[in-house]
Amino acid sequence: MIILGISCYYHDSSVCIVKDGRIIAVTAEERFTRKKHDNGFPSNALGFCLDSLGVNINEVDVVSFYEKPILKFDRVLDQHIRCFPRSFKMFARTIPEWLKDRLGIRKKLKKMGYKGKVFFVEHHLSHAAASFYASSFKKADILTIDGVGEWATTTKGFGDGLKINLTDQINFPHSLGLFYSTMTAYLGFRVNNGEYKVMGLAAYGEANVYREKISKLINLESDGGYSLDMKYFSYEYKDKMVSKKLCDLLGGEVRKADSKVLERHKNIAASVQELLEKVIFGMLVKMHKERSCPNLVLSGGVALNSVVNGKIINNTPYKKLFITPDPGDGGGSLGSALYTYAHLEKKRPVIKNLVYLGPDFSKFDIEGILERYSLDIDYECFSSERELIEKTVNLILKNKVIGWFQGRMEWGPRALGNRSILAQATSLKMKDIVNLKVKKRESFRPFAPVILEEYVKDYFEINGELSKSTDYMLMVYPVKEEVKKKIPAIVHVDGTGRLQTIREESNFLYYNLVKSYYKKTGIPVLLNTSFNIRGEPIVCTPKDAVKCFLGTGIDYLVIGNYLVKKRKNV
Amino acid sequence: MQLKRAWFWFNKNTQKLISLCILIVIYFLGIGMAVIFSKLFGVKRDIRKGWISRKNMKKGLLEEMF
Repeated sequence: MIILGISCYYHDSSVCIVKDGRIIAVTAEERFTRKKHDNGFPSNALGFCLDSLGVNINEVDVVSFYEKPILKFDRVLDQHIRCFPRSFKMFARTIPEWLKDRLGIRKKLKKMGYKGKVFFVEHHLSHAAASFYASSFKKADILTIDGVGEWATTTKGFGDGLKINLTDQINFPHSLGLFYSTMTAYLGFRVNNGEYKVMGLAAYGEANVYREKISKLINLESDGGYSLDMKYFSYEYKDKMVSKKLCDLLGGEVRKADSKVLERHKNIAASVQELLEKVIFGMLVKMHKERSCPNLVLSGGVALNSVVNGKIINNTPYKKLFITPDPGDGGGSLGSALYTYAHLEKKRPVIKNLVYLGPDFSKFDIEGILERYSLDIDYECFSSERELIEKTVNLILKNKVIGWFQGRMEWGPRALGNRSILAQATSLKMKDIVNLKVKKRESFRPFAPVILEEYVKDYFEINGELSKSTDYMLMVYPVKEEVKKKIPAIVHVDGTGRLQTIREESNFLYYNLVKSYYKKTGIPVLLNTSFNIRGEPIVCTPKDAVKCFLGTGIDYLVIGNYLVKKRKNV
Repeated sequence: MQLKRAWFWFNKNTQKLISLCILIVIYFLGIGMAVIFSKLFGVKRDIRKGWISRKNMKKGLLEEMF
């Protein structure tokens, strides 16, 4: 049975194809259109997924959409009616979109020639399914938290074998995701893009300065749930999320995007992060009492908050945690496809590879691109992987910044070793070098490490069993005091690191690169950041990689078996 | 004088005013339709704060868009 999962029209559109319970491909539309967080209909991603299996759309048995459009439309209408007439502008902007595209998913697929069934899985059920079925847990408690789905913004429940039962939900407008997004907007970052910047900024601030004021935004309910004090939020009726009352409460206007980040912004970020953690831990502690299950599955966009994720085991009774590589809307396509499979076939999907599921390019594709750019670059082909690794490690040791492009692209927001920029983590200067040469991003944002899994507990303070989600760069842990000086480029100001662990069986070449570096230096850690420049999605094709390489200060590009360097005049 | 100025402004912006009127009419029509739609298909908004049990919630079949 071939199932095609689709998520689109909110943010991070994506497509997933599943055959007989095995994931064949998952990818986000932004990687093809080069438009970050692209929310349009994912035609390119759909084409790629079908090609991966060598089928056309008519050979697909079921298309599964990641939410129920009419239920969501119902919430949108309700919102406009309740906020009438303040919602006038928003109404005029959103309703045509709904009528034109969002309600017409069946029509759209029909136009493409698809004649089969279309299923609609609830938004939070898609989130829950993506994480639960991808986990190895037979039984687990499930918590999903995001901005908003149809009506629900947070759901809790449990998974048992095939069955997923979401027992309770918190409804819009009370939303932890939208609370965090509003504060992201207040701090001058883009909503649905800058949330991780707030998370990074929080480490610089003192939470106690704004603790009392920020705590007024969320009321903790006696049942473990929460509600927002809506007078501080205007997202129900306006595109701007911050209300005047919130500005008055915090004693200042919304920060302009290019203006300096002040001490007060850092303090606000710290309080926001602290409150988010408090609410989530509170919910989890209560939730655990219901079934006393030691396993937890987390999903929804808020599960991308790796600082919270890293603290869950220490602050709640749960012993094991799993989060899928893309717990946000980009993973909705996978969740809906997996849920549909489990529902129809009465079997649990078989998950082997959950990361490297994107586009791949042949040696000929790469050669063709290198040939095309031969006026600007010199390149050398290595016949053995060992030689390529040896040469790359030697360059890293000379403090060179390497663009690393190999095999199938990663799925999800993080670069996990197939579209990465790699450098030494041993010098604090390297952070500035990578920032200056390539990323050009805010100085307060940390860089992440990749570490050989067998050494992770020597470098990071991790209690209990290592979560599989560390493979996906979704957990932040404190760096051990005694090794901080060894790897200063990846230690954040609060002494933590958002690590990615790597094992040989998950990515042979990447693992052996880090291993080879370890053999020469005794340090099993490299700096790993996504292969892109600020404001662009991660590179997808060899052409994207060469263009990014030429347009930035990356010293060398390793693409397939080729080592590429710029010509001196470039 | 002021009346004359107002008349001049009105003449100059007739198109804009008509567009605005049309937009307002569409808006009210839209809201009207929205109310009807909500009454016919809508889920009654649950205003409770905190956790709401999903036990008695109407859940659509997979084939349904609601």
